[in-house]
Amino acid sequence: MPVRPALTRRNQVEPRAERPPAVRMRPIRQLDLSSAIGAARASGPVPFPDESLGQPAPRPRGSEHPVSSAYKVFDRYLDEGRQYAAGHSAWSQSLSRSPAAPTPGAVPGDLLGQWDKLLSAIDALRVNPAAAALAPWFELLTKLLPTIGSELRQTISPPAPRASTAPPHEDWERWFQEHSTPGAHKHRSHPSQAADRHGASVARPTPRTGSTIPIANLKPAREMPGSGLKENTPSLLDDVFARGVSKRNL
Amino acid sequence: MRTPSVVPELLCEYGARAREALLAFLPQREPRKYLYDLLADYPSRASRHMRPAICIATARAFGAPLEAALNSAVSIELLHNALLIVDDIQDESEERRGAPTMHRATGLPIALNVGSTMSVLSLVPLLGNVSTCGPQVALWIFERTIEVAQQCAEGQALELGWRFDNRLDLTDEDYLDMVMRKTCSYSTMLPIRAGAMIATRRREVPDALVRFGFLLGAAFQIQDDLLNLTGSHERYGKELNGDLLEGKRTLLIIRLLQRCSAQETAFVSRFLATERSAKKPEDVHSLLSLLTRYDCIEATRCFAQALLGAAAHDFDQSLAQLPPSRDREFLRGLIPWVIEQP
Repeated sequence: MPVRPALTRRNQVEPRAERPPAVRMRPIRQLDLSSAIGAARASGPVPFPDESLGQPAPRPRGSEHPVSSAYKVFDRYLDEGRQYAAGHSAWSQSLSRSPAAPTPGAVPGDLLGQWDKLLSAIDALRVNPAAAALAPWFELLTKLLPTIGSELRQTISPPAPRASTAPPHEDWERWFQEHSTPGAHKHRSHPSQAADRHGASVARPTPRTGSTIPIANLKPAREMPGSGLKENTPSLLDDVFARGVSKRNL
Repeated sequence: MRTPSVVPELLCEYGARAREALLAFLPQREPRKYLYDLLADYPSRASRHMRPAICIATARAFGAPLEAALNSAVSIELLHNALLIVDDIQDESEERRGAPTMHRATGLPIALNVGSTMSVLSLVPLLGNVSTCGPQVALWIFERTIEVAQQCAEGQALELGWRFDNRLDLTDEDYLDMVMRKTCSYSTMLPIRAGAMIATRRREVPDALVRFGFLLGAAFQIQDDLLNLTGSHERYGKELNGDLLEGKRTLLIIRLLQRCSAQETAFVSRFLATERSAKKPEDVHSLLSLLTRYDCIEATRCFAQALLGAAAHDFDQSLAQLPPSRDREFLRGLIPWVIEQP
């Protein structure tokens, strides 16, 4: 359903005074494609490429003809695309592996290539009618493989060392868990505030952690008009997550 | 050759599916007034939905179901609308699809925020390709989309830079290179590449197929430049002569500079360098007269026709080898449609 923007501060196009008239062009209602191809062939000179024969594609000569210019631009585009991919690949590898000093415990470099081959093979099988009976397995694999791939890539490219001044990730996790416990938010603070608790005079604002209502006290959504939630139980997050995913998984 | 009826039919059918999916995808939360309702503004306006239709039709022509291409089609259409918002700001355009441009309606800061948000959101539907197309294809399309977004920025940079430096020495190849990056890369080449990849699960798409997209897209842009001068305001949906007012280096201007006298070149140079708001209607009229006198409009139209002739050849080399289908005929029918488009 079309949604109109609420903001219409200047929603009218002011007519321009003295707008110059549009140029009148001979009406073209029908494209003579044979003459267009013929013109291209005649002035190229085209031999158009015949890639079906597996031969090097002959290119039009001269720089005046539109098709000749277009082919030059397109050929540069292909070269550029190859250079782009090669450059990106080299950059990625330089970040993840150092040939002189491999990361301890790193997976051998060719494993990622083998992984890509495995994905290709599974992709090919998925669309093979002969393998239709195995469809449920492919569905399962499709769900599992991204997780496995993520683990594999993390192994190959381990997280960067943590800056010493930042609070440990685990501490943040624990902190959020503690503040999700009913009533806990009033009594706990993040480890980074420990110094303040022990005598520092500077008061820091308590970080916001969402709802301050203990989960056990929440009532079903039908008693909370407008919440849009079915129930407020520990499965609440799962429910919201599932709805979010299905919405995006068009 | 005339546009077959399958072209408007599938533009309507696939465009409606893509638009429905796109609007359902957009977040429904606050701040609606200043962001999320505005994200739906451009996609809700009447448009031809050429890009998602090409993506879906290519996938179907190669044998994939429509649903397999929907994530990519939505992503491409979102990227397109994001680019339009930003382009309109950069070009100081007044109208888009028959209504005021985003920045005219909301002011520059809000429009910029909407455009950048939509750019980022355009990548999100591609994550759905993991389940519909498999991880390998999903990653390939994701990488190509990022590459194409970068090429769009490069094309826009070229066009803006030429205006900034008031360049008068541009060639046909310069123009085609700019158009390939700015328009063809995401309007025709990416939809075709993604559609073919979704259906075939191959690592590479034949060059002839991609080149068909490039030639079609370049002719489309040239025709759009022509319509900016020669179309009717109601059907074009944007202000006429806007390209001249913005000082754009269209093929028409490049042709004129190749043909006109030194004195006329000086006039064109002054005109192009003048700020849009300071351009006089009589100067616009003089420039239009020069374009007519030197037959630039007809020459540009012939240029587009030649590209379409080459596109027809590349179609025969690639898509024509597929089994007959409405989708294949749609893609072939886009060649005359580029010229005859409403």
